[in-house]
Formats: sequence, C-alpha cells, structure tokens
Amino acid sequence: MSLVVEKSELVVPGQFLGKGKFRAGYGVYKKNDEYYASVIGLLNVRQNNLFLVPLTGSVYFPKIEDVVIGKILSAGMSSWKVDIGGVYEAILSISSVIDRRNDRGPRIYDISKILNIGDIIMARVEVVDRTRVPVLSMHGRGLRKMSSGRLITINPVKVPRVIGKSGSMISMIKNETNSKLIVGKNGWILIYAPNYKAEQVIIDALQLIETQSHVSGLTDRIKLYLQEKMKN
Amino acid sequence: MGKNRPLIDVNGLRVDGRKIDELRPLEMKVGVIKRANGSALVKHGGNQILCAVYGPREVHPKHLALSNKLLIRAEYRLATFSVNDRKSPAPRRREHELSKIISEALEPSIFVERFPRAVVDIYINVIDADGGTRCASITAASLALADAGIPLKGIVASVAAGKVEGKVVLDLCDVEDKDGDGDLPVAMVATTKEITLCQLDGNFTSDEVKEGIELAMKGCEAVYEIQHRTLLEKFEHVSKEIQKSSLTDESKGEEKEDSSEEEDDDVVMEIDESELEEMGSKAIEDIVSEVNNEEEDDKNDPEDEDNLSDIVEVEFETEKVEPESDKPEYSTKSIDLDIVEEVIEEDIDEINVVTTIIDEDEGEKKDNPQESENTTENLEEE
Repeated sequence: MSLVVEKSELVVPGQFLGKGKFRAGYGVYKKNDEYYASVIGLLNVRQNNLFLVPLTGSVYFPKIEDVVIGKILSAGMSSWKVDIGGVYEAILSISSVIDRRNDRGPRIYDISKILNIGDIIMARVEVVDRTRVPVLSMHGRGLRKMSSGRLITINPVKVPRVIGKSGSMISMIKNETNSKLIVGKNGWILIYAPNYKAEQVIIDALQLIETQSHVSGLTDRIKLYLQEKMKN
Repeated sequence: MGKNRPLIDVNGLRVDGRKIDELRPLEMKVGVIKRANGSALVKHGGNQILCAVYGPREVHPKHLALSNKLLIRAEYRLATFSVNDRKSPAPRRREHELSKIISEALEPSIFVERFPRAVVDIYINVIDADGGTRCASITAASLALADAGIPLKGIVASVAAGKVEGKVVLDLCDVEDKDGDGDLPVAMVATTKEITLCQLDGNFTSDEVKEGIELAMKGCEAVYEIQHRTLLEKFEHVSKEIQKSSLTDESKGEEKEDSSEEEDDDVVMEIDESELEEMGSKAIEDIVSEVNNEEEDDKNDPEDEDNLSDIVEVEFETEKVEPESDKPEYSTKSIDLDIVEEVIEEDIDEINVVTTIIDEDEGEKKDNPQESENTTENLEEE
C-alpha cells in the first residue's frame, strides 16, 4: 500500500496516485488495484479513503439531502421544472410543495399561482439516481420561495470553502458586512445586504475566495479585505 | 506542384530549421473564456486553437440524447481569417469529418457512463491554421475538459507524424503537410498510452507506419508534459502571488489581486525560490486540514451530516410567529410555521411558503399576502 503522490499535492486527471488497499473517494478512480485522479484537485487521505479536494468544476452534481437554491423554469400540470445549475433540470412536484391530505378541493388548478416562472426557491434534493432527473422537495424547515435578495452563482466545488470550517468563513463575512447570506449547495448564493456597497464588497470577496481557495490563510485574508473595503 | 527546395536539407534540418524528431514551439493556457465551463488556448507552431467546453448539460435536440451515457459533441470550425484564402464560414465536409474524429478521440478519456442523457459541447475554433490543426484541437479540447472539471480517465495529447522526402518526421508544419509524402496524426491518453486517434494519409510502408506511430507517441508524451504544466500553473500562479504579497506586505495586510499587483511598498524582501516552494506546500497542507470536514461524495462519512446542518443552522434565525388568519394558508403538517427569517430591511416582509388554496365551494382564490410585486426588482442574477 503506497502513495506515489504526496498529500495535498496538486494532481491532474489521469495522474497515477498509488497502489494498494485504499477506497476510491471523490475524484479518484481505480484500475487494476491502481488509483488515478479524475479531476484537478488536491490529494487527501483519510483512514484509507483516497480522495481529492476538487479545484475545478462549474456544474453541480446533486446529492440527496442537499439544500439548494433554484429557479423555476416552467410550470406543467402538476409539477415544475427547476434550474439548479446542475446537469439536468430538476423536477418539483406539487405534492412536494403543499400538503393536500386535508384538502378536499379539486385536483386541477393553475399551479403557476403557487410558483411562477422565474421564481427563486429554496428546496431540498429528495431523489437522485441515474435513471431520472433530480427530484426536489420543499417540505422542510426553511424551504420556501425567496422573494428578495441578490442572487449570484459561484463554482459549486468552492461552496465548502465559502462556508469554512464550522461556518467560520461565512460567519465572518456576515459579521464584517452586517449582511445575511444563504448559500445553496449548488453554488447559488442569496445576499441580503444593507446597501449596495456592502453587496458589491461581498460579491468581490466571494470571487476572491473562488480563485484563491487552494491557498491557506484565506479566512484571514478575506477578513482583512472586507475590513479594508467596508472602511469608507 | 513544383517543389522548389528540398524539405530536408543537407544538414538533416527541415524547412523551419527543426530536426527530424523535434516538435514545434508549444504554448498553452486554460481558463481563457470565463463564460464557458472550461476553456483553453493552444498555440502549436503557427496554429492557434481556441476551445470552449460547456457541460455536462441537457441535450438539445432531445432525440440525440443517449440513454446510457454522455454525448460528446465536438464542433470544429476554421475561422474565415485563419487561412490564406478566405474560407467561407459555412462548414464544409472536412470540418464535419474532423468534428466527428475529435469527438471520438476524446470520448475514451471521459467517464461517459456517469452522465446519461446529457451532453458535453466542445467548441473548437481555429483562429490561425498552420498544419496539424486537428491534433492541436484535440490537445486544446482535452485541456478545456480538464478545466471544466469533467471527470476524466486521463488527458489526451495529440501530434502528427508524417513522411517527408522518404523520412519519417514528427510534427508536420503547413509546407510539409501540403508537399510531403504522408501524414499520420495520432492522439494518445498520455498516462495510459492508450491511442484514441490514428489516421494515415499518403504512402507509407508498414515499417514506416510503425516508426511513425512510435515517433508520434513520443511526441504526445512531450505535449502532455506541457499540458500538465499548464493545468498546474493556473493554481500555482495564484499561490505564488499570494505568498509573495503576504511576505512583502505583512504590515499592511492589504489584499492583492492576481495580475494587477500594486507595489506601493518600497521594501521588498529577497526570498529564495526553494524557500517559497516549501512554504507553498506547507500552506496547502493547512488548508486541506481546514477544508477537511467539508468533503463531498463520501456517503459513509458521518461528517457529511455536519456539513448539511452547517448550512441550515448558520443561515436561519428563527422567531415565533402567529398565523395571520384562522384558516391556515399553508400546510401546517409539513411546513414549520415557526420559521421566519430575520431580515435586515424592515420594509420587506417574508412569508414562509407561497401556497394558494383554491376553495371551490366559495369559488374564490386566496393568495398569500406577500410583496413579491414590490421586491422582484431586487432579484438579480449574475
């Protein structure tokens, strides 16, 4: 069992990582007992699990129970199509939005009265499998239509960096700019800032996090950056 | 077709002064088109190829979707100004053929089974043509795919061998391509040595074919080295800039951007290159441990749950709220009534779930009283 690449080294797709009894985690594939990288990222090992911290990837791959922000693209008879920045357009059905168990009303109505095209929603990924598109649900704590805020998108692989360890980075941003941020796992972010300047500063800071996510000390650097920009 | 001068002169050098097995100068860059998911610019000799990758995304038109795998759709186009005589913008047979060939050369390197019914669109634009554009296109496309973060089995490198004046040579230039005896483009997944493209055009003996393929494979390895360096450079460039700025500017603590660095500090520290590299790798170790519990795609890892609760917990501050009317306007069973977000702006009121209950008996529609009309202007997408 041996690794030819050092931990935290930047690897490229197809690069040989090592041999032995590992488990292939994210960004790693196995071929005849040998492990190779499949995306650009930093190598990491934890208890036999060989995986990469990805540095590239602008398309979101949904996982069950992810909380995402989405946009309604179209309304059908009893479901909507939602854009979550992923490979496929997700489906949100009416039964995942309202509870009709106690409702004796008719089954057919114009569902665009509930959620219309262009509406921004916060939803949870309920089902993901290879045979169909992701299915969303809005049954859950805090899942609802968002009627305000500035929506921006970042690279979904950078979301853990934006949140930081135990929310350190995002709490710091919120405190320094006196704003609120909602970060979806798909990289869509809603910003509620007290004024336009704070909003712009947050957007610039998020772009900085995106480009510098692989360098350490980022939280401190962003903190200094925010303090500097919010000063005037 | 008169050949005025020999393509290989008495010293064994070719028309552009290269040796038999020498590559033309290669220059590559990734991330050149910000809007695309991935992009690359490759300069190979006089060739300049710009490639943009979009995907994986849904296929349009739908009937082209493959039920069990990802569709790779490459589009190779010569710009009208890329050749001597203006090329008409309408795609010709050659471009259709090359589009197909490039798709097929890249497909073995991509994990196509992971994205059924989706497509990766690869747009290749030759902005300057100088012989061997299909090889340079494959090289550029593979870089762009890696830049887009699409899971790959390896990076594909490509170069053309050929035959000139009876000798097998590497990397034909435009003159050699047109006036030579043969052309052998080869593409290979550099790390696994798997050949994904092999074409032959001209007169070769079977030994010459073997020689040509081997020579081309060596050339592909050399091309891959540059591809590898280019991919790493995108990130190491940023690390080095930050290391440099944080060391020269420790007192100020000012954030410096990548390329536009303002050196208002007169004091510059002289740092050893080797020292810098050591610091760089140590620094990366720190952030890896920092990002440690944010790992995705590890279903068995209990820390994953922490991740989700991180997001949900951090963003919401909850307050008890009385329902506005006796008749519940949203389902009380499935949606928690108690959550209302604390919003900075006093004039924006947020209601939890937008629902409409149409009461057939009363024949009227009740809408949730929410100021979506007033606040939609705030919603912007970047």
